[in-house]
Amino acid sequence: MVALPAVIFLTRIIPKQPYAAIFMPVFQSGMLFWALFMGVSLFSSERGQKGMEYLLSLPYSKLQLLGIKVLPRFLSILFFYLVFLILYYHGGRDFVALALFSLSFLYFVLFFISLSLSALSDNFLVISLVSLFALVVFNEIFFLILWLLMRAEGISDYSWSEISSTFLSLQWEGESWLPFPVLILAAIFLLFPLGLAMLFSFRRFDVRPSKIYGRRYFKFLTPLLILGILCAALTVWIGIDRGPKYFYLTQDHKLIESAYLYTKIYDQNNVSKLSVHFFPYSFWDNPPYLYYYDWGNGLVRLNTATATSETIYSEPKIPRKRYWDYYRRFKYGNTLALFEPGRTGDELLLVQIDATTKDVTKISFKHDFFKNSSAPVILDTGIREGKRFWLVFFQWTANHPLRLWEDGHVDNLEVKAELLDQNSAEYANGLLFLSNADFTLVLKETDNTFAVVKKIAKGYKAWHWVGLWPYFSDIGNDMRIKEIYGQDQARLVRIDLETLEIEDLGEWKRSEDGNWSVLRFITPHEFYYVEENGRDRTIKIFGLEGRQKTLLKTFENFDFRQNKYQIEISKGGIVIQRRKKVQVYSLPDFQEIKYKKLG
Amino acid sequence: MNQNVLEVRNLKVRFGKKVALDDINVRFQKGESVVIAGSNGAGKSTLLRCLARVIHPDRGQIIYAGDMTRQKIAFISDGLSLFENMTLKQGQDFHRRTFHIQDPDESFFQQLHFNLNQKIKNLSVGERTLYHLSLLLAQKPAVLLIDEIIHAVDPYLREKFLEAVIEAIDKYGATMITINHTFSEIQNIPERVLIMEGGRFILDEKSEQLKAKIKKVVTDAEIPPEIPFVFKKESVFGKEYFVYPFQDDFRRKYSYDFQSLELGEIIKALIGSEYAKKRMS
Repeated sequence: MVALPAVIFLTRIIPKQPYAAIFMPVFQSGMLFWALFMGVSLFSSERGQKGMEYLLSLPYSKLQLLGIKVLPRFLSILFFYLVFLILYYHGGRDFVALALFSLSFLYFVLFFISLSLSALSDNFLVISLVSLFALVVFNEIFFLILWLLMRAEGISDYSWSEISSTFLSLQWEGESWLPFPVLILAAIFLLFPLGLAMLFSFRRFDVRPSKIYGRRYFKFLTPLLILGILCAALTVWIGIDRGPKYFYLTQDHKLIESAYLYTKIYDQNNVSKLSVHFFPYSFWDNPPYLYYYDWGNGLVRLNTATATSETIYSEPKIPRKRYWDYYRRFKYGNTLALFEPGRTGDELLLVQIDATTKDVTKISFKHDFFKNSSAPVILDTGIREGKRFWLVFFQWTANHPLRLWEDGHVDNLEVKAELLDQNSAEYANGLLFLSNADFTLVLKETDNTFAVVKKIAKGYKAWHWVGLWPYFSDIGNDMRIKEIYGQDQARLVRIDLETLEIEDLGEWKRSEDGNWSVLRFITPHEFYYVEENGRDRTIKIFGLEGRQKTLLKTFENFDFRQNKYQIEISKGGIVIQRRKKVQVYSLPDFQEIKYKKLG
Repeated sequence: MNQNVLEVRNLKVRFGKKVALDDINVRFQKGESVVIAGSNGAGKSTLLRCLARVIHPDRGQIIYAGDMTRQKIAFISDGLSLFENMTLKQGQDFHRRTFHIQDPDESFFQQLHFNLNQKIKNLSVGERTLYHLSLLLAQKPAVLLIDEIIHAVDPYLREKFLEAVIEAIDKYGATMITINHTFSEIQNIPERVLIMEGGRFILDEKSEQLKAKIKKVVTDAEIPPEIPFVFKKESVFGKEYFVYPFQDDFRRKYSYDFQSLELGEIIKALIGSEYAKKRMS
């Protein structure tokens, strides 16, 4: 209690200090050491003082004794974990060496393992080493269970060497097929044998040589561990999300069902099945083709007429941790484009793939700017003075655009504005929108310089492109948009791109159960506002055009509490998935489309 | 009627493959003072540790009298096990708190004149023994378990120790169970003698009966086979026969000088006989 104000004070100042980048990994290492020490030293004090006989002669039962010894240790473990959480949530996320899940996992597992093994030897060092070894074994068993079940279910293509490093890094958080509670429960089932074996064998713990205790401990541990592994495996098997199925309706009304193991293509009478995974958000819908990016495979073209797929461009292997530096793919005209790292740090390659002929051209650009920049985004492309150019913005690490020319020349474009560190950029009608946590700037280019024409206050935080996967969005000078829509706190708003005036279009609804309404835009010219109404359990779809918000369709009987529905709007129509029931409506007439083979 | 304070039933303890206690059965009565003797490794300390609940038996039961709580059992191990990084004051406070001692008997502790701020580990073996005893006596024990320790204490402190123990037996009616090999100063304390060998009791006698049953004969010749003896010791001075069980008739029939023995000598002979049996086997 005395230390708490000091801790809170420290957690407020440390994350803001320049040494936080060193402090946090050191603090995390210290935590792991502390967990190990708190576990293995359970009886080291008594052993060091030759007080074991005295301890055991105290008028306590063995379980009371264990409780008295373990409880303060567990509280100290929780205390440092709390300090870590406060540090983490006060800004430590950028500095941590181990992600929240990884640290929590290792910290508690190491504590319980070392605690469980603490009575097995009188030698502190031996127990420490055995505990660390046991931690490795524990991890291997844990990840082996996950890996085997994922492989058996065909959910993941992770290799065994990748699995533990993936889970012990931040990436696991993106793996929706293994929910956090399932991982925790599986880990607890594996820890239970260690706890129970200690509990059972400690009831007869005495001053005899520790190997006698050890024999009893392992007699309990072995069957319990087998049981724990089975329970953990069962938990994972039940808990793996086998299948959120995603549906997408093509422009020619083919319904694509996508799951981990397969892709199904429905027309109104038949269904075809492919053993490939279709990533429903990353496409260019150009009947009969759907273009998408398959991680590890490259750019894939799915022919919905013949139910075949082919890889039209295989990307070079980019380490997973650098993947997000180059993850976006673009489309203009009949060309698919993406960036790749060059052979040297100052080189950036623009890869263009002809969607029809599959011809690939690569253009090399060199600039010092590329060395420390990541996540390049093509904002615009066109032809000037007979040469193609690309307006490029580095989303995460830089704050000014470049213009790349097809002859390899790079122009620095100046931004006359005071910006925050990280901004996301969008481009429409010759206007550059830079959004950050505090404001959005609208800038216009004159002679290679972007100047602010409007500053929009913090409240406007979700323009229509936010949240949209921008792969293969049409880019180019020919794209003219007259308006965009967004959310200002609890209001739906519109910006007129001619006048840059902001207009209020009414309430941005929120259901009582915490679900928010969303904006969807299909093409640069078609906007839909999907409104959730918790009270009457409906979803209303509005069309947005000009200053008009027009109710197009009301869908009823949605259970928002369980969040068991999906609604996808595409150029072809709307797919609504409620539990296992799937309904499809064409746009713009909202006629229901029936698929005979759709279960 | 004698009142049992604790009873041991079918006690078995193993150290790996070695059997330390082999189906032991014994009862101890209130106020009784018992000495347990035996050769090294006979199982004496293991039995005492079982009684103190420091060793959990593999089989069997230790039944304490109904009103006996663990606070009333006092145990001094031969390792003088205490939390030695504590100061004497801390150790005393801890012991009283843990054993819920409301009204401690400090009379013995006050005689010791210890510096309470020194650490337990800085005490000599003798001081530490007395300090440990003072902690235990403060809890007014009903059972006092003392492993072989007083041999390491100098004669002055040993006397103090024994006085305190005798006082506790008188004052609280405590049952004292001690392991001892050095009998010179405690000849008159034990009322009962238990001899152990190979994890079993080979003798359980009242001290007075035992003294009456064992006599020593010193002679250069062999004694007649009608006189049973438990142990024969040969030296340059002649042969010593430890006659057991001695019968009064022997004095009438034979002209030997059947000498009475001190308890220490008796126990020595009994242990010696066990070694002799081992050699024979």
